[in-house]
Amino acid sequence: MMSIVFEDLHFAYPGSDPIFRGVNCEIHPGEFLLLTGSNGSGKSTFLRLLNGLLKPSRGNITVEGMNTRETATARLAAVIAVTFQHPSDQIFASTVRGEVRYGPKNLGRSNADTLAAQALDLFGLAQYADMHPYDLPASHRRLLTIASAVAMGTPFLAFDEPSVHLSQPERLLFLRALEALRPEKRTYLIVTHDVRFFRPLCTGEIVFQDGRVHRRSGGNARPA
Amino acid sequence: MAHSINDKLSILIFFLSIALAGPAEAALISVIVLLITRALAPPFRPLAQASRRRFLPVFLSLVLLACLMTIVNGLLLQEGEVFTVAGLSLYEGGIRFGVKTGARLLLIATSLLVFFGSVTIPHLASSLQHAGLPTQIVMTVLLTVYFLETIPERITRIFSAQEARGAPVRSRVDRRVRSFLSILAPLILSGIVESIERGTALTLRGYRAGTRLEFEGGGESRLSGVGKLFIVLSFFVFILAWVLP
Amino acid sequence: MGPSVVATDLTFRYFAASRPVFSAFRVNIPGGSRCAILGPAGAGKTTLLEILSGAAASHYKTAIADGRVTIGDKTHIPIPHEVLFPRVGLVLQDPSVQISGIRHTVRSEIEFTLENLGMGKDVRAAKVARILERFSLTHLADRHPYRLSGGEMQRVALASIVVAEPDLLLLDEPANALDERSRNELAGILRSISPATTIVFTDYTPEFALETADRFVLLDNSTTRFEGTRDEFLTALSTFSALLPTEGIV
Repeated sequence: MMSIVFEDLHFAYPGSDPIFRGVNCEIHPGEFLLLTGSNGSGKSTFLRLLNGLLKPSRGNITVEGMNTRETATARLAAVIAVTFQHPSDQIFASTVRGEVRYGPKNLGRSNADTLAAQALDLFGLAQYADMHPYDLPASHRRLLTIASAVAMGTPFLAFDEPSVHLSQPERLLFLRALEALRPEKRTYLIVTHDVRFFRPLCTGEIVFQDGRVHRRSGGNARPA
Repeated sequence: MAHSINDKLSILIFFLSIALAGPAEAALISVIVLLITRALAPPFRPLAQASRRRFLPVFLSLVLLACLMTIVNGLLLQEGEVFTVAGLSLYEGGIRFGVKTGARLLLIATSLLVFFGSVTIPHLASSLQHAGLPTQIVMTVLLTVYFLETIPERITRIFSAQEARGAPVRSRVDRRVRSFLSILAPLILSGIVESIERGTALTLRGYRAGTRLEFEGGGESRLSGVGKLFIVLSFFVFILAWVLP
Repeated sequence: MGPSVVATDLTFRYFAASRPVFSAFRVNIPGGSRCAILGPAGAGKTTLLEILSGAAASHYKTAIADGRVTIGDKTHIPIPHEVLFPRVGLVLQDPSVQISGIRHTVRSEIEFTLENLGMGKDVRAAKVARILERFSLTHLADRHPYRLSGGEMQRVALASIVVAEPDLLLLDEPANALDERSRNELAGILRSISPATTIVFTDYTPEFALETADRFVLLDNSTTRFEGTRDEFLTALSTFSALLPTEGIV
């Protein structure tokens, strides 16, 4: 089953108040979900729980049948690609192409080069492929981190505030790329304040409040 | 006793002089004295939660390192009698030398750990400035210490980001070593970019080389009788080491 | 009334060999206005602020410039070649960089600016107390500047510049990392600054600017595509949809 299931998820950072107090929900294949809620409602923590960087204090998260408690992040990465808020935390290759190829190569994808080339094309970065990532404007570096995630070829993609710091031309590129990826029927989880931007693509929304799912819309597979 | 930073500094100098010039036995005893002082004397207790938590693992790895050094020296420095432990032929001379160097390094590291754990950065900076160091150097020390303080958090963030991309940061050692670059490069790149920006930001707030800095929480920095005593004792250690065979 | 800012035939490149960021660029910002410089990434917004603050010439020794920049009654040929603080203050995009990291309280972080200007202790204390009050930071005065939320940190960074009472206040994308509440607070603060200070800020979306600014400039590819009042900007906005996100506004 290509889904993600949350059962009675509880989570607290050591010595802090609980962030999640019983989250129950299921994410179905092909959904395009926005994760929203006020600052501090745990949206970014949610992504770290998804790929096993953090483990639940109680309850379970199952990603495609794998319990995140017992599965290493490096293995979950083959199924779910996550981007975080600071591009500078991940960029290390000396070329844009090398950066995008890093993920699929780690996962041992035999078509890493093709995946990387496709992602560069999709995000309008092909023209910069041989440049150093730090020679790109900051907003293109952010697109680069998104392209790097897409290139991993995972069925699930989770982005933390991907549209922040993107100006209109990059926003349009990003939307066009997501449109072009539609036929691949991947599942998207997007933490964002920018609901209006993603509205045309989204199939549902999960609103977090007081450590629980306050509202869950959509919930069935994406309509054709 | 020894509340002022200069007192602490003189005690640090004393322990460093034992490490450099004193006998290995004294160095070992000093390490124990330091550990007890750190646990019992309020002025030497670590100020930050983080340094409190990190002290024991760092100290234990230092001990481990010292033991390893002793064994390596015992194996390679072939002097004196040979004795066999667990199938390894160790030389007495080598072991002696290893213990000596190990104890000294352990004392240097421990006294630095205790000292830096128990002083605040503004306090240290104001003391350096009082000692007549140029502001530019004091500022560089401050920014460096700031950067060092942020490294553990940065590494955690970079670690997460790369692990999420399937980097084998927790698997077999050889693969881990290869993924080391993916942790180090973002740390250095973002560090360089940020330090350039920080320099710009400082001048944008009117900071110029030569401006005398002021520090809050500067607290007591005068050298008390205790401090002076330790300075004299440090000299004494060096003189003794010189005079005695 | 704050100073006007006029750039005439401005040409600027970071290195001799690099593509010019500006060439024959012109802009005219009336004194005392709250001017938003809008445009996509790479349009030259940040560079323009760096030029006006003096940071461009003082930090990029390889930069080559031509033209004329006039701030108030002072003309700089071709551009200001040293940091003009405290007459001109620039608030950088990332507040955590602007905060020095060498002070342990918000109060003393802000005071640091005044120490750099060589002010006496009593004057400093009074000025800092006033700015803390104005920026709703009094309750945070004894907190560590890095243990604040993004919005609070942004206010501290802004206060650390405004405390020096610059005539021209420049802000690089002050609103873009903030949530709605912090954005509203920031808009309130900027609106509360009297016209004795000219304010110029950049952004790549028009929303915050429409709440805050009375003067609009649109940059695209290093040229001024639009210059005008709020009403004129709103009328023209629908034609800028390739450069600015306009969903929900037009």
